[in-house]
Amino acid sequence: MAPPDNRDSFVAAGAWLVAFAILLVAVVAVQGFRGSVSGVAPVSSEGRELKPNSSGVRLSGVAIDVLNVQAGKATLLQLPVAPFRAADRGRLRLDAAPVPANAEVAFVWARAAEPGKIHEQRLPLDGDRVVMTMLLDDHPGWRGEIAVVALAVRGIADTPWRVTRVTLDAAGARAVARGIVDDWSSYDAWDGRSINVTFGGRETQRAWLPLLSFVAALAAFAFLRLRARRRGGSLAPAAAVLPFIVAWVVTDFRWAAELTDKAQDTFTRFAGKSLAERHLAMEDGDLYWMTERAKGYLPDAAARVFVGSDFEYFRMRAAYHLYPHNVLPFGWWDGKVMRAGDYVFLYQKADVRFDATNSALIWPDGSRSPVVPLVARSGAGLFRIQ
Amino acid sequence: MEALRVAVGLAAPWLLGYAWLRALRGEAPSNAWLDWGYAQFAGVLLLTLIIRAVGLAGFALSFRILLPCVLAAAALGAGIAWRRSRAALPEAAPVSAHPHDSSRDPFALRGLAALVLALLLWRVGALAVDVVLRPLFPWDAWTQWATKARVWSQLHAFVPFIGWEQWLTRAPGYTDVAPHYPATVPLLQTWMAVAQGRFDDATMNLPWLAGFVALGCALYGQMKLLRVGTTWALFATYAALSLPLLDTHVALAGYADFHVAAAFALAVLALAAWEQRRERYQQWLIALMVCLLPLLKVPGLAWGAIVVLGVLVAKFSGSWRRLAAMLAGMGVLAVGAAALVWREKIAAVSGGSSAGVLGSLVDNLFLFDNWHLLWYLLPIVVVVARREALGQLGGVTAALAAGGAFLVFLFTGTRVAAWVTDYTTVNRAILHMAPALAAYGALLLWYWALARERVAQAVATPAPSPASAPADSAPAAVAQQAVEVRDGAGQAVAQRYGGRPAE
Repeated sequence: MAPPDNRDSFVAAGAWLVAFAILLVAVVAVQGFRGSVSGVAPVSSEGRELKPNSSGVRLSGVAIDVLNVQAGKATLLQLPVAPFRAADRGRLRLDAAPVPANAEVAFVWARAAEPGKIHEQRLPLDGDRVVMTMLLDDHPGWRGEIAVVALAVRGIADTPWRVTRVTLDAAGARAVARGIVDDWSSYDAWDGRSINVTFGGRETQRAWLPLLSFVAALAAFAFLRLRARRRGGSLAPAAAVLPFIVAWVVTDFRWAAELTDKAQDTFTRFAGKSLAERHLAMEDGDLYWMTERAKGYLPDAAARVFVGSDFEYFRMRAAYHLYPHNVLPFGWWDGKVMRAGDYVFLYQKADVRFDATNSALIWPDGSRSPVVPLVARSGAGLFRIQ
Repeated sequence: MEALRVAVGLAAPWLLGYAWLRALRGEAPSNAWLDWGYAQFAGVLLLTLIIRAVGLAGFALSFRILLPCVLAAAALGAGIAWRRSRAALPEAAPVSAHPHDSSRDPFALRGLAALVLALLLWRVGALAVDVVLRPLFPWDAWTQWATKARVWSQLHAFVPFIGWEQWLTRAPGYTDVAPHYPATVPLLQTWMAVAQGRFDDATMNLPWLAGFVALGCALYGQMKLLRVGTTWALFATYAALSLPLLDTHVALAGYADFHVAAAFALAVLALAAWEQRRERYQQWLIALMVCLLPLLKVPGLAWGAIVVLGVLVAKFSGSWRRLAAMLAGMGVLAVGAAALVWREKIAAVSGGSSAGVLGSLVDNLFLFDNWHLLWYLLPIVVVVARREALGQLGGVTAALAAGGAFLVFLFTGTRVAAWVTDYTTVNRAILHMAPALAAYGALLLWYWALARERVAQAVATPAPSPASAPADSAPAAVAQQAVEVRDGAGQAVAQRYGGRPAE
């Protein structure tokens, strides 16, 4: 059993490729069939026709500019469309400018059968934060009669987001094929959450690449084995493993491309900057700036600092920036645990107020702690307990 | 100057590990890939033990104190290695004693070595950008690991971390969300920070990138020592290093899980080598990695125990009674010790519903690209190469099966089940085994392919006619092949040699 020569290797790789292509076409044909033949007319609205739920919008010709200004709330842009069957229109297309940093956009809808329940799908963005075409027909909530559809804009961005046109049409075979490729090539930037899972593209996909690659490898293996038997021999181990190697390498090519994309993003954001500049360029740049400022008012020796925020991320992150001071970002709720000389660092803590007249912090339970304000800014401050 | 200090910070523990590995190795056969690969992790173990000792002795954790200690320890190791090499008698290379013929390569696939090497280099380059440039980013890295590194490196003192309730009573010490976690990973970051002269939460994670490269070297080195062909050894290394979740833990460095996965994989590979070669050096490698595991993360204790179990199986698998008695004894001991040491932890995680676990596992193992095709291929390989799994690699198989059982118990019998269904812990727990499993699968496949080749050669060899052959030659030939014969080929051999059944 000699190792396969070049021709055998090409046959093995070719067999995998053919099997993979057949599988892909099969998925596309099955899932795109209805959309391709249904002939349902698309619904399409210009930006100015969308109905906003807040005043943070401005018309700009046929387009609409959206600037969400309320943290924790979303600006909705409702499409003026009569109820329709979900199966008839499964593709969302947007003609819009890149989504500004710190803003997040989603497509939301309610079904006629359950009017109180809002379904949501985050809009996929490419590396330049341009909204990509999205297929909805594989979303579990996209079924039955759709009563209301809207775009939701969250987060507070510095610049408005311009939407020129929104179109909902049928997800035909071509759209399904493009959707699958988009699923695989949608590379989100790294996020700061715990490292628990790598989806391999989008979080929900129509055809998962590892599964498809493996099934194609099995089919190629079966073909190679049959071919070897017909020639009166047996399949050499190397030839037997080749389709699986091809499948692994192809899957890894996708991952390598995603890693490279992420590395490019990192390089663009951070290369050539000092450590402080890189921290300022991160998602918590403002918090970093504030903690650095606060550190200037803390003594050289390690001080006991109580860190408070309504958001766990800010509490924990502020504590990380304030080390090696002796910080406590959790496990306390008011000033009773503090002593004179301790410090309090607050960042986006809505239920604690500073009484400037009496120089005291008023805690959620109404109790007070006399303090000396060291750094104060809207939504943030450093205080020393008296 | 700062770059030089960072380079020294990276190189010194690596040299320390290398010096001591050479001291332990003596004249045992090895190769540079293996020695330098394991040296990185041995260096992490020794370095952090030295920092602990310096800190607990009350000395400042400064580069001026730590570097001489590290260099002195390295010099001591190098001295012992030098003495041992001088004292040792020249030894015949034990190559001929090895059962596998390196000249045969059933996986000599042209171009594959170059392809995977290029992919590996591309991988290291892409990961390096994130490790070097991105300040500490993922959640746990800055909530529970680097918190300690920041304090120790900036205070130059090994101050204790205590629970927040204690902190509120004004007890001396610092706090974070995991004050009880092992100190090895933050001490490694502390070392890099004091080496650099400031706390830089990007460059302090360079040991993750170094560990990634070292893991690759060690895997390749062990494969070569086991006489796996170059192409397949490279592919096995690539398969282990290409796992997306492993790569992510390097790119977003700062968690302990990468080091746990690497140490476990290297312990398992050393166990595989020891099963084949029974060399003391491999025992040392196993011992070092088993010592490192619990110092990295609490579950490392379980992973270390699992490796020890594999060693016992490999050692006593000839005598099933002794083995059974030993396993029963170990089981009782383990349950008793766990009940004593982890009473509170067990109480905290016991119970829980396993509803939805299966679906989540299917998603994470087979659909999402956490592991490429590992979980599709591994069961097939184990079934195909079951004789090698239970024979040549019996100890490793037992260890990995025990590891699998440990995870299944965690995922279905405890509250960890909830962390499986919300995807928060499932892959990180699996990560600890994944590189070891990838290397194990590749090794199994290699042995299976070699065995098939031998059978094929036996079948293809022209048989001497019964009249002309010496009376005992045919049975002897069969006996030589008997261990490897399978899959119907045994019958073919038997027919060729006059109906004598292959055993």
